[in-house]
Amino acid sequence: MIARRPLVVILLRVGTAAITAAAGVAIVSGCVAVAGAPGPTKRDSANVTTQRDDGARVGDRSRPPTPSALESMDVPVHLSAVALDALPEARFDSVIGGLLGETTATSQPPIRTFRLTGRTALYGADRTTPIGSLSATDFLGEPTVIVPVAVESGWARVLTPARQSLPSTNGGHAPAQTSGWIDADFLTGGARLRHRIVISVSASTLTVIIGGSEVATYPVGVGTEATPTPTGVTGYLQARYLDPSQNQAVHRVQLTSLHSDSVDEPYGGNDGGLIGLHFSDVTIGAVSHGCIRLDAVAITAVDALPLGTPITIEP
Amino acid sequence: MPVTSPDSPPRRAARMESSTSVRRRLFTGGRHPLLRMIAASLLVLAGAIAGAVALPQAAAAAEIGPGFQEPGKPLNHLGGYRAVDGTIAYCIEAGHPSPLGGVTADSGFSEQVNGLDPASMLRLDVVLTRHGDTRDDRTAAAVAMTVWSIADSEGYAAAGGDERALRRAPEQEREAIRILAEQFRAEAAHYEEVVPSAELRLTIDENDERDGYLEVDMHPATATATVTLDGAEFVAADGDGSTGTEHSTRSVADGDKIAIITDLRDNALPFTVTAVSDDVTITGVPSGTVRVFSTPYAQTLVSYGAPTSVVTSAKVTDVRDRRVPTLSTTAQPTAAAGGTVRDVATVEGIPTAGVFLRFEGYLQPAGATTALCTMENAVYTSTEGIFVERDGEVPSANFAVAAEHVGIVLWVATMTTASGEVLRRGECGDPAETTIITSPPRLPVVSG
Repeated sequence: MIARRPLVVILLRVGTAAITAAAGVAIVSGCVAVAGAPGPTKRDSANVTTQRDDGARVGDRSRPPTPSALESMDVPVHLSAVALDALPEARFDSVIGGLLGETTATSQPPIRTFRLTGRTALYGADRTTPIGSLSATDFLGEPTVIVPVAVESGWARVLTPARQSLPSTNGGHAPAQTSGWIDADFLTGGARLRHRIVISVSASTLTVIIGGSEVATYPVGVGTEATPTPTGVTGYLQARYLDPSQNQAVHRVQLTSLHSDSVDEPYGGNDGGLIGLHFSDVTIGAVSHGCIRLDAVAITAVDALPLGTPITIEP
Repeated sequence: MPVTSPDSPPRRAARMESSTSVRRRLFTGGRHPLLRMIAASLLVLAGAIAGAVALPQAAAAAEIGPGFQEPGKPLNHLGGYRAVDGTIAYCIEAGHPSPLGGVTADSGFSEQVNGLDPASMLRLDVVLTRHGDTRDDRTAAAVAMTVWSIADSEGYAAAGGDERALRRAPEQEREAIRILAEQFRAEAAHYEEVVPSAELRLTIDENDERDGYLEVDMHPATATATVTLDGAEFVAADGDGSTGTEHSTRSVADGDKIAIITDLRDNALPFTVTAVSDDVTITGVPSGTVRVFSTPYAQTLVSYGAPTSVVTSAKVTDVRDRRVPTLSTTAQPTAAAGGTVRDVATVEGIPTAGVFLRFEGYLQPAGATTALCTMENAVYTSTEGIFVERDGEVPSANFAVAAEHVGIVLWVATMTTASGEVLRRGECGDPAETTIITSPPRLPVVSG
């Protein structure tokens, strides 16, 4: 009988969420991976072995796991530091092909944010071959903000700040938000997410929701037709910083995990069409290169929200 | 003047009479002055030839000193005689002729007169040392009686003792003289040789072991000594009273309390402070000798003997099994220009007086192969010490990291007492005390 990884305990402490144990899968309210995102293949048969000409038994558990070996999805493998070094780090400016594309339809609103106990491997849909890595600290040297959207058998699917592909190489479109699987053991310091941001591009508004209740709505500037703000997607507040070189010396730039889904670099440069929330004198209408522009009141309100706060952008 | 009485042994009386009668015939109004002069000269010569005494310098007659004379009998003197150098000396042969009129010579010091044993010699010297050199008539009279009773107890008793001797003093003085004589005799009889002693005590400040003091108790209080310190120095006051030059040896007296400053060394466990004196001395101690003045055919006179000193030693040692607080440090491993950086110390065993911590960060020269921690490459320095009064973690201030600090910074933490004594200091190049300073991170440029 194949050993099952116990469900990560921290995800069980969820309000009034009901926990249902099914065969090999523990479900936590709001954190179920549903159709739309490539996920693991369920096991539906027992071990099947055949005899090869050389006498080796095919299908034995003694063989090294392969992408088709169903049992390997149940046991995340801890990679060595050397192996991790060989993997691309999922950063704001990286493109990792194996990452999963996220949309609002594929993700339940995340309810907790975490940190990492250390650098960890990032896996794609098969949860077998590592495709990248996540560092415990970000480009500011601060703890990397981790926002899981699903948990399964010791695995956590987390939103990442990297791109899956460039729009220019993908027919003019690429997911604005990506995710990948990590070993749930690397999650630590969970904090409940009571806040949400919902941006309406059509209405040019930003609404702050706390505990399910809308508390404030602000007018905002959104992307132009040529450099649109991505919609139908949920990302998160990744980091915040002052940068006088971007004329943001007073109000911190609120960097999200989102990227332009239609233009490689709407503003030029090499950072990957980053979508941020930032201060601007012009905060009404389609005026930006995809970012959300806020006035002083709005940016101050957003600056007070915790990192990891989910940001849903609606058409 | 010899004491005579009707009970004097005939032999003595005859002898006295023979010598005194000669001195009287010659000196008390005889009808042949020339013969008198010749006789006097022969006496002097005879005394010299006799060789019983040396004639170093006192070639003159002794004179009456302090005391009393019997009324009508001026030679019956109760008291001391003044030798040629002014020394007050006393007769030790009861019943012998007075030394007046003769030539009294200084015969020097002697360990024995009249066949006295050493104990009697000591008692004799005690009386003469303590009371003999006096100008007081009453005291001198009492000394004379005491000297006779010690030096010639049988002869003194045979000559009538105190009762006969006191007749030479005025009646109103006799009781006082008698009491004094008894006191002097008791002193002499109960004299115990004084051996000086000294107690040295070191006190080191528990809160600041650089400070302390030495206390001195000596017996008798007149004793003197010099004390030498090892592991510390005396703090001497200058003439104006301010703290002056430190030194390790000084003279001390009974009751002294002298500030010292200990010679602590970094991390010295334990350290020792020692105070030693090898010359605790009392002087003027009766030695049991007397100085002899001889007059031919007359009383032998004595005065106090050669004083001696007694020396002893004293020592005290203070061993400090100090528990020097421990210090370990861990620096922030990385920092970026534009941010901040700090070092963190962990201390244990902090004394009640507390300690101070200071931190320095040294930017290593590019390409340096050995650790360098000098003032020239210091980039972070505690402006003042952080006072620490309990065990635990102590972070340094958050030092601002400038762009020119990019590189490797080595930290050194120093623990000191309030007075600045260094208790612990880190090593330059300690791997746990290394911070990698990087250029400021490139910030993401949003689409705008």
